[in-house]
Amino acid sequence: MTAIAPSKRRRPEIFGVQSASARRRATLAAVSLATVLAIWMGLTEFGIVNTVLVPSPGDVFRAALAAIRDGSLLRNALASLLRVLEGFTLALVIAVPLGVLMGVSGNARGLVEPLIELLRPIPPIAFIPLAILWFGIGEFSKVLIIAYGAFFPIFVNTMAGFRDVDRVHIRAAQALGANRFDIFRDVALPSAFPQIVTGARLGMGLAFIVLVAAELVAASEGLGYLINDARFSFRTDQIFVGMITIGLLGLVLNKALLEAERRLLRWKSQ
Amino acid sequence: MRLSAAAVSIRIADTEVRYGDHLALARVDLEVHAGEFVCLLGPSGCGKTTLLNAVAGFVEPSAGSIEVNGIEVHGPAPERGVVFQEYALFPWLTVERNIQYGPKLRGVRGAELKAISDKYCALVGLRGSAHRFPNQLSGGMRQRVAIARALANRPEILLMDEPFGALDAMTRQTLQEELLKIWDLERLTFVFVTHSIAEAVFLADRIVVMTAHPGTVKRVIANTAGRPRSRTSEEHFEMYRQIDSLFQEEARRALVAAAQP
Repeated sequence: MTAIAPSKRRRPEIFGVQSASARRRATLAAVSLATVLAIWMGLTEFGIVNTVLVPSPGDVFRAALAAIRDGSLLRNALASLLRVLEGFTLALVIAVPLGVLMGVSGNARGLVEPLIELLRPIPPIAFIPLAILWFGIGEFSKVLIIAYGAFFPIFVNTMAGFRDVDRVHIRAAQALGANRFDIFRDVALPSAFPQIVTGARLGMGLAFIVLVAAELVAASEGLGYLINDARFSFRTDQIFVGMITIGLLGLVLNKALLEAERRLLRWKSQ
Repeated sequence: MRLSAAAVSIRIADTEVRYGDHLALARVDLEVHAGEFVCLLGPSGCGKTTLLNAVAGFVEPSAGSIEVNGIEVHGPAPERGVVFQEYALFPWLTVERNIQYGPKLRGVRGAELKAISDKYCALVGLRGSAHRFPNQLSGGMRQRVAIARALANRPEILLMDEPFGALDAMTRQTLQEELLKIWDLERLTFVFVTHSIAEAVFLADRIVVMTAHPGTVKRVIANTAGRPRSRTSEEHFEMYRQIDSLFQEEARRALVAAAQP
């Protein structure tokens, strides 16, 4: 027989490649991080780059330890986290009901959609100057801008979720005796729920981006403040600490939301 | 067969359905008796699903009327259970909760609710899958759940829109046999849409042969094959031939009509 036996190691699919095992992924992640770290070290150790502009990993590590010891890292991180959560929650309580209303009512959609389409291309960061003039540089204007940033993904996904409810599910419920309210509660809401959760996750990501921008402009604490303040004293090591912390915090939040999504939507898995 | 003397369950009188300008179903008259198994048979575009949807109350006829037990149909109601080709199970509910949904809407709770879902899970042979989600089931199992869900709501009529259309031939045959058993047990009126002559001959008491452009009832044929049904009996083949020749004739007519300027 000259038939070609399928190879054990190589998969025939080119695009639908199955994800690697957890152990393999962990190894690959370690390799990639170690490589970056090694290049970074090499560049700073051998004087290829100016260490005032690019601190060595050791410098950054020491700066991190110092910031942890004097409590400034924790204080600033908590301040940022609180803002994000406040802004995100505010966005959630406005965007979800509004999205539901517009997903359910064609008239509401017709009235509000043009406004939304007009506002959506304006990046939240462009609202910072206006927010400062209107509400000052206090907490309120920052939370408001973060909420504005998080609003759109949540709102748009909620609306789409409600608009795309499968007609056959509605009919099935009707034939079983469901009235309009039953259908809303038992069919539309669970149908749209996955998209609402996705919207919330995307909203959280945006809230985080907007947060740092808002803190760069005007804040007396927070991670954005931390890195901007370090700039004035030329402490690039502290800037690195702040940025890495922002990255780690965003990573953790996203992972937490993904995990919540997985648990809430257990029925979607095969 | 157990018709003729039985009361009229569904009376379709001079019913027509239009979607805008498109005539989906032209003037149908049909009576279905209580406890009867009727198949609506025809090619796609013949209006069989439209007719079923009109009886279910999903579409409003543009002319004529449909009565169920003497009451005119306006909108869906629990006395008319529906099984859809695409299953239409609620994917966010387990098998058990899907089956419980109709009774729960009626206010059934607790042990009684559990007893209902247990009974219908067992009826369709899914006792071991009560706590699984529809995504975890095969097509055949999903359709069993859909049938159980419709039956658990204690309808008088079960309307089925090509319920086995998406299944493989073997699963399809098994489910046809089980459906006949269920029909025997539950003694409901069944209206079953299909485009398979063999399926209609195997299942139905009467076969409503429909043709397309526009959707019309060509003929209503009483199935002379006895019960229990056999797929290989001479009377089964005889029925098959008779209906097949109707469609051949229709195809020839359509060809001739198409050839005319």
